[in-house]
Amino acid sequence: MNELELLDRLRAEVPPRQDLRAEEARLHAAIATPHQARRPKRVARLSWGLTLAGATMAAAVLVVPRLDSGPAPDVETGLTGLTAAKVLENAALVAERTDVPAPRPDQWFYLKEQQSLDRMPVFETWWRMDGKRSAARGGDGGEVKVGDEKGRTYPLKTQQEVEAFPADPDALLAHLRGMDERTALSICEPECPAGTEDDVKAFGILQWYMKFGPIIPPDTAATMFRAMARIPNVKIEENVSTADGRTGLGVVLDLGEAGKGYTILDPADYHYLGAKSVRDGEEWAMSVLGAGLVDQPGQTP
Amino acid sequence: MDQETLGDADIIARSRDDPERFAALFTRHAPALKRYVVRRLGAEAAEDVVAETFVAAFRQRARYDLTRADARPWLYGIATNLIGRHRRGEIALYRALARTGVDPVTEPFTDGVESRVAASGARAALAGALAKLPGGHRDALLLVTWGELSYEEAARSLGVAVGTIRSRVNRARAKLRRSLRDIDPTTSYEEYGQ
Repeated sequence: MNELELLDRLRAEVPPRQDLRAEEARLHAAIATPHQARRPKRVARLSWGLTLAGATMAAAVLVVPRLDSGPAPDVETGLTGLTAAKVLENAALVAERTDVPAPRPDQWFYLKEQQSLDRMPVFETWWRMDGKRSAARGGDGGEVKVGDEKGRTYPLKTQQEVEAFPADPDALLAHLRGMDERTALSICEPECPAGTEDDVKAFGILQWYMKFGPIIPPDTAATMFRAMARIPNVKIEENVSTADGRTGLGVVLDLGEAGKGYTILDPADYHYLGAKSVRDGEEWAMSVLGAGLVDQPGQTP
Repeated sequence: MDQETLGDADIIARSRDDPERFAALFTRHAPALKRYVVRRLGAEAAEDVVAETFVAAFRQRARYDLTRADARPWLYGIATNLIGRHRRGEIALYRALARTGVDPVTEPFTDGVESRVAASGARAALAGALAKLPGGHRDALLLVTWGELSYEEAARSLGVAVGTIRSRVNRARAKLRRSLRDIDPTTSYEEYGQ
């Protein structure tokens, strides 16, 4: 054995698979953060981070009467036996009856998020619908800073993307499986069980688009819930905790030891509370604390 | 087109218009990069370096040469610069292994007793030699071994000529060989299961 082979074996005990969730969160934060021409030091930049969790499904948010066609989820009585089909059909029925006003290009999409990482506090961001500007508030009560980066992904474009979704849930699922990957949180990637990759992708894409819930047309939102119900291995768990300590209905893509991905919905009106993934006994979560349309950066719905 | 079938350059090109596409590059390359950086700096510092590498790469994606299909040399080059900020820590870890026979880097991943018993001889000698290498030589050597880059890829990572990589690796190898001469070959080879 020569010196290179010996060197190859030095510290070879370090496992090929390392926990990457903190790094992934920081990359997502950077992607979502309006670019500043001159960035402050690293610590300050981190505090500017922004997570990519999701947003609310039931926007401007109406308390909707429950439209019930089966056993309703009820956290107080802790009803069990909920199926993904029933829960997500209820969510779809609520979504169909939710009023989503058409946004103007000069309005701003607001999102307030939190993730379960000590270094990442609560973040608030505003994207102008037409993508001309974006803004963020660093930390609680911090100053709102408007960024100068204009990208081609912006809320109006996202809205157009979802409007182009097929109206049939099965067709939507097929469409999602053929799309490029988009995820709020990784579940088992890149080591998902063989054959589940497209399910994971479709689940992740649906979850990702949910952050734009307040601008998703009602019928499209309903189709998204119904498509999620058709993904194999999707189940319901009750009283699932979010990153900020709330509890909700967990729509779970359960891949056993490979990992579990949660889309967490409010048990009363099914609006999107956040996402969570659990793998190897560790949790990683992102919460949506608020979302909606406003007229100026700095305003909240 | 499915992201799985896209090359790195295609992903980076798409991410210029649609930033979130960049996450696919992370999914593809972060696991191997993380292991590489953990081997050099330990798990704690590696988290920071890997996160900073991808954030820096994302910020610099407009400057990426799209004729380069494989982004690894670029990513490992950024990581190498960031590892350089931890030079003292990296050397201290090699020295700790050389001096005590206990490797703080691998301890979290192994049974403590087992690593103490196993870590002697060749490992200690190699670690001692790594600690003494000039930074650029250590970078070149570890990129082509632990990083599994070719000489050409390592050259692109470090922004030097291929001949420079070849010469640095050869000189570093010679120093590792010398460090191994002084130890009992039976001990050193046994610990590697030979």
